[in-house]
Amino acid sequence: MAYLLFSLSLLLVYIGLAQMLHVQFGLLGIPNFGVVGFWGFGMYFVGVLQVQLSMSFVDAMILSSVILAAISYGLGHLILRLERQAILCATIAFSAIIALLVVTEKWATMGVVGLGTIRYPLRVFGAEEVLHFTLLLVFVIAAQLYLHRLHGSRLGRLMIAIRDNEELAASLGKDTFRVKLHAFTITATIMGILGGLSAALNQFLTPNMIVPSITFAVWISLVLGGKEHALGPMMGVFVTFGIFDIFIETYAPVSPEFAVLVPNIKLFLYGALLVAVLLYRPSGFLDKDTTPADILGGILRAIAATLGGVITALSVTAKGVETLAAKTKKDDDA
Amino acid sequence: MWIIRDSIFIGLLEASPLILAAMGFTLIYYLNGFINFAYGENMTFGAYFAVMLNVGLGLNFYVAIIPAALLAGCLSVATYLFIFRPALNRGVKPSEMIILSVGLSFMLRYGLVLFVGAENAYLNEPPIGFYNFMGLGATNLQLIALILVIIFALNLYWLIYKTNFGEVIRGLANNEDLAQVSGINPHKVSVRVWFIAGVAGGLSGIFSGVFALANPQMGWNLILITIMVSIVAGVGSVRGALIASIVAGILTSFITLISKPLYAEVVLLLAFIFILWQRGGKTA
Repeated sequence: MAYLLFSLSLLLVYIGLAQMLHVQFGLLGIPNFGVVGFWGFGMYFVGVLQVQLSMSFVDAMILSSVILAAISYGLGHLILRLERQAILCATIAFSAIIALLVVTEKWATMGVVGLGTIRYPLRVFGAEEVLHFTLLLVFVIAAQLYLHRLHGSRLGRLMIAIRDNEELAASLGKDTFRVKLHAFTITATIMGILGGLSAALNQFLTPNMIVPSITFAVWISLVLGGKEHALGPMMGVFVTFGIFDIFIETYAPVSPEFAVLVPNIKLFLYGALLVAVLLYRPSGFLDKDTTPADILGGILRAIAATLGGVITALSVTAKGVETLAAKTKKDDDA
Repeated sequence: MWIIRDSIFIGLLEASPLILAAMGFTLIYYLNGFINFAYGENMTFGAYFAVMLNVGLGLNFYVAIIPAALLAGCLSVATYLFIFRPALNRGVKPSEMIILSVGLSFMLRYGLVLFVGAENAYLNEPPIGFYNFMGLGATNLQLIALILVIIFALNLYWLIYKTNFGEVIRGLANNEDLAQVSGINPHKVSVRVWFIAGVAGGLSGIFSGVFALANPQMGWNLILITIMVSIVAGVGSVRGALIASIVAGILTSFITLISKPLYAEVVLLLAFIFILWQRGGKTA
C-alpha cells in the first residue's frame, strides 16, 4: 500500500511535468529537451538546502524557485530567439550541465554517495505520505483547471499563434518574445517546484536519478497523449507510466529473472511507440479538437471491444472444451 | 608550456573518434537538414559489431574492424530507408524529426540491452606497445586509430570537395528540385551518404571501444558532444567539423590537465549555449 502511494505520487509528478511541457511545446512550440535539468535542479537544490543548511522545506523551496526562475529567465533570454533545433540542443546541454554538476560538487550534493534524508513538508505523524500525495494531487488538479482556462483565453490563442507563425503574431503588434520568455520562466520554475516535491518523495537523492530517460518519458507521454490537447499530458502519463511503472511493476505476475528486463523493455517500447506515433498519428491520441464526449465514447468502445473479445474467446474455449469432452466420451465408449 | 604541448598531443589522440563521428554526422545533417540522435546508436552498434566479430567469432582485431564498420553502414542505411525516409516523405517538420530520432535512439539502445545486457563488453586487443615522443607516451592502438582516422578523413574530404559525387551532395542539399531536374537521383545519393556516414560512425564507435570499453550507453554519451561540435563548426561544412573536433579534443584535454575531466564537459556545454546565442541560432 505504501509502495502504491509512492508510485501514484510519482505519477502525479510526471503529470505535472507533462502539463508544463504541454504549455512549452504544445502551445508555444518551445522544444524543451532539458526537462530533467529543471526538475533535477529543484530536487537537488531543495535537498541540499534542507540537509546541509537545515533550512525548513518551505524556505528551501522558495529560495530554490527564485534561483531557478533567475536561471530560466537568463537561459530563455539566450536561447528563445533561436530556431527550434537550436533551442532543443541548448536545453539538452543545460540538463547535461546540471547532471554533471551534481556529480562534481560533492561538498554540497555528496556526489555518488547520495544525499539524505529529506523530510516531508507536511509533518503529521503517520500521515506524511498521504498528505504529500494530497498536496501533489491539489497541485496537478489546479494546473489542469488552469490549462483548460488557458485554452479558451486570449493568452492561449496568442500562444498558439506564436507557435504557428511567430512573424505574423509579431506583425500584429504582439510582443511575442516576452510572452515566450515569461511562459518559459514560469513553467520551468514549476518544473523545479515539482522537483522539490519529488525530493521529499524520494527522501534520498543520488545522481543517477537525473538521467535523460526522465525527459524522454515526459516527452513520450505528451506526444502520445496529444500535445495540443489540454488533457493530452494526463492521458499520456496514464498510458505510459500508469501501465508500465504501476500496473506491470506492482500487479502483473512477473517472475524475478524477467522483472530485471522490464525497465529495458519499457524504454524500448517507449522508443518504438514514439516512432510509430510520429509516423502514423502525429497529433497523438487526443486531437486538438477531441471533445470529452469523444474521449468517453472512445473509452466505452475500448471496453466494449475488450468485453466482446473476452466473450468470443470464452465461447470458443467453451465450444472447444465441449467437443473435446464429447470426443473423449466417444473414445471412452469405444 | 608543457601544458600546451601535452594537451595538443593528448587532445589529438583522444579526438580521433570524435573527428570521424562529427564528419559523418555533418554529412547527414547537411543532406537531410535534421539532427539525427540515432547516430549515437550507430557508433554503439559499430563497437558491438566489432566485439561480436572479434570476441564472438575469434577474428583478428584488425580484420574485424572492416566488416564491423560495413555492418554499421548497413544499419545506418536501414534506419534511413525504414524510418527517416518515410517520415521525410510524410512531411514531418525538422523539430519533430529530432524527437523521432530520439525515439529511434532509445529503441535501438534498449533493444541492444535486451540482447547483450547492460554490462560492459571488451575487445580482444592485440598486444599493447608503448612509444615515446619527446617524453610523451602513446600506445600502438592509439597511433593506429589516429592514422586510420587521418586516412579516412582525408578520403572523405576529397570525396566531398574534389569529386563529382561531392558536388551532387551539395547540389541536393541546397536545392532538391533543381538537383532532380539535372538528372540526380536523390534516393540513390541519400542511400550512399547514409552508408558513408554509418561507416564513419561505426569506426568512431570501434575506436572509442578500443580506448575504453563498449557499453550500450556509449553512443548517447558521445552524441551530445558530436552534435555540439558539428553545429559549432557550421553545418554542412565537413572541413569545419574536422577543425572543430580537433579543437574540442585539445580543449578537453587542456581543461582535464588543469582541473577535473567533468569540468571540461561543463565548460564545453556552456560554451556551446553561448555560441548558439552568438550565432543567432543559425543551425542550418
